[in-house]
Amino acid sequence: MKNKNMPSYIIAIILAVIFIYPLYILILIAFEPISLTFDRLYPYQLPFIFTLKNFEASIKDLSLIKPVIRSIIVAFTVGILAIALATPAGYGLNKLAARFSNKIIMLMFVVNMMPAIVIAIPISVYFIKVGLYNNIFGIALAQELVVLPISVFIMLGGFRALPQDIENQAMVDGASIFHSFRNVILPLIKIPLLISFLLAWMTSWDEFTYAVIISPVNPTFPVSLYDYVSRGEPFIASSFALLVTIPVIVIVVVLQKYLKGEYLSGGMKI
Amino acid sequence: MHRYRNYRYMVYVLPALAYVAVLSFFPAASVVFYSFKTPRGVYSISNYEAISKAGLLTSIGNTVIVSFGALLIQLFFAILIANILIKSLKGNKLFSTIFILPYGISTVVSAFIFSLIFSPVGGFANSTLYSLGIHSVDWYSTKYSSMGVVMFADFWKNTPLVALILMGGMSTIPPSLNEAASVDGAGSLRRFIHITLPNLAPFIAIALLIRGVSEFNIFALPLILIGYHPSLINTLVYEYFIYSSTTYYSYAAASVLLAIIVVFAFIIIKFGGAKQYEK
Amino acid sequence: MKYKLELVDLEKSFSNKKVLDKLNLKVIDGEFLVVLGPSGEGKSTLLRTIVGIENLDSGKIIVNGTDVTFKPPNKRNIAMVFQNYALYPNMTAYENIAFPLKMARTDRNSIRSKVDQVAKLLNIEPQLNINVTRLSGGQQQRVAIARALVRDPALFLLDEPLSNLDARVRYTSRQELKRLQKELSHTFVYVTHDQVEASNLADRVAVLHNGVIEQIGPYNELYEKPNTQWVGDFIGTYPMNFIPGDLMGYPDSTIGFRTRWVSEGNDITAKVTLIENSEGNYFVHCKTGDSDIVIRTDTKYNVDDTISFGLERFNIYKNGVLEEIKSGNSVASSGINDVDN
Repeated sequence: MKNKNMPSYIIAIILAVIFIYPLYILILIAFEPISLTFDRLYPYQLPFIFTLKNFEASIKDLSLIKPVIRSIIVAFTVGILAIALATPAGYGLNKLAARFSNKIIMLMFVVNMMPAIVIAIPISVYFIKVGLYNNIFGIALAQELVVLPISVFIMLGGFRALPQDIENQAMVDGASIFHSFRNVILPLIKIPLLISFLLAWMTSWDEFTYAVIISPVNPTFPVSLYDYVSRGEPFIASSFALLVTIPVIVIVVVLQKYLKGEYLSGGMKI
Repeated sequence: MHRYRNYRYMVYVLPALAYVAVLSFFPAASVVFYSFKTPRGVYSISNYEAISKAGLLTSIGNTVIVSFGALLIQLFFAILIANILIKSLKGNKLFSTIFILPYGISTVVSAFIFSLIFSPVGGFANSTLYSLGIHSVDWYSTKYSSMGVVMFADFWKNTPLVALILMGGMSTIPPSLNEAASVDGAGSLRRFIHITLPNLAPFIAIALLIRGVSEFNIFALPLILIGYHPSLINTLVYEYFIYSSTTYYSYAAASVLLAIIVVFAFIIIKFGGAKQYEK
Repeated sequence: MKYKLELVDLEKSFSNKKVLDKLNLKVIDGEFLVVLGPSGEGKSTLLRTIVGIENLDSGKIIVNGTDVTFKPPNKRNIAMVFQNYALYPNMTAYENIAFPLKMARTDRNSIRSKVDQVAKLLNIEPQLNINVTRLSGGQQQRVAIARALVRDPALFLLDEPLSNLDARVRYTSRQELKRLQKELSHTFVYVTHDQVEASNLADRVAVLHNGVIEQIGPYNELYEKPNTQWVGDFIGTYPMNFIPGDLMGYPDSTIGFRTRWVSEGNDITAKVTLIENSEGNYFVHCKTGDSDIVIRTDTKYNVDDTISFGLERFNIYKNGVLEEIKSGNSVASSGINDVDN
């Protein structure tokens, strides 16, 4: 029995090394003295010499704190907006005939397929007129386009999973629309809500195209990281890159349980 | 119970739908419209002529190579990973956590890391080669090797998502099918070809659609890793947008990109089995 | 007579299909009314319009003398038990039962005493603090009924509440439901397609067909004196037998009779096609002219035998509607009922 699984293990281990190696490099450049990494033609990979100097330096460099704060604000805005728009949409789509709601979902995904750069350039022109250019809420509004279809999809799945007639029962039991949502529906869609929010948050955190075109002067973290790299000053950004990566990795590991068929394709009615 | 059509529930859907329509359809339409406008206010195809002389076709070619290359690599490894993770091996929890990690690392950070690994001179990849006594390599010596670097970074970042979708698909295949086939004497390869693959087809189509479209849109990775040498169509649009005095060239290039995506999506939806989901 | 519920000319269609077509119905205070009809005849729709989940196209709904047609479900003072119970899965049994009281802003102490009281009545006290998703089907059904009972509304609507239970639990639940309704003298409107339930539970049965109540009355009345051929065909384990009236000397009409309404005689001659043996009786399927009929006998015939028999009693239908009831020499004993229990 054990021999049968050997090839699987070998492949899994090789792939695991490939997947971990870049992360190791990220940790290396964040915690190893610059004299061993950036300053050398052939940087040291082993042994690992630990220092916090890079970290101290980059945290002292205030220029990167602002972009991180911007990124956080944008990501929360995108997440909240996603829930605000996707919850009613998922609720409504669930009530419509499946034939009809599936078409709407398809339409949203088709729209989602339009290249960000194609949308971002004309939007930036409009945003200049309405004062949303170089504005973090401008970025959030544009990034919402990327996350909205998947959020609606996930929320639709959440509503479809509700027991039949549960909302009707609440009304018959004397609950107003507010109470039926607050006391009956909401507790049952907590998880899809959380997943929508976190996926939206992560997508925004990662998003580059809209951010660089709509707000080049007040950049989010990915954009300012790009600035540092293109200016040839990667060591300033390296510790920060690790710092901002950790929370997202934590989210992904937490979400792992839910990042499966049910939610990514949960709203699908076959 | 039958669920009757009740159009009044459209009210709940409209805000999301309107949001997407206004901020997406409208700008996209205006891009196509203005791509025919010249600085002198006349409408013609002169923008397209200008950009095709300036290497549009090469960029399209590069984009197609990178997109399909990255897509195939991702699909291959995603199937491999999904096949391993779907078995109940010891240590699978650890493996699945490792395989999902890149999904949580932002594209720009990934690009940044890979730019350090694949430095033109030195860098971590060459450092490994050096310590093994092998000559160092200029990863950007040819156009194709440059694109290879982009594909590799993209493979690393995006394979987890494809694997997740495929695993979702594999978990829908009843184990009894595989058991029945192995009773009938089918080996693991034949079981994979005759049972797993056909049942997985719609999920592969979905993954191809989701990833394929984003593949044509990859922007941050090539921009950071290879800049405009060679340029893909996305970086070309951006280059025109940043460096040219009018937006019209970038509009024209963007329209071409839009057309390619529409064609690609159409092909996948039409022939890829995604239709099955529309029912 | 005091009516708990009056339905006046209810109309409802779904995409051009008329589900309720000027339906009228009056439910007497304290009665157990069963609405019986084949699947897809709009039984559930009827309940859903009464409780207010579905909107009416036209018509009037009067509960306890008050017109509630334009009131939302939470203002109608009607309780409903849905087919799948629609229990709140995030709550315990106690919280489920307490929910309607909480919505009515009942104070904590009386919530507790009322829930305890109804839990005792339904024998679910040990399960009160368990999450409802972990209860058995029968227990879930009791919780759903408890949640309806706890409010003391004007009227109870039940949508096939026993259909998800297995046979034995269904039997005991049926007895209990009947007992509860009589003890508390509540008014129940109960929807089902199951004739056994209808015959066992109902004070009166209302047969829903083509969007109207085609006949209403005690089950035995429906069984013996179906107003229309359709009801005769629908009610009973075996449909009523129908033969052309000419055979008995009633031209332009149809004769209807039940399997047991036969006697010695020569009224009808038929050829045996199939024999069923059921608990000591023979149900003989035979053909007379173009009509297929089933009669109950004590004699064991063989397939292809030619038999003749008389009719003790029969109903005469003209254009599908009951015209006359003929009792032969001796009127058959009342309460004849071939529905299995």
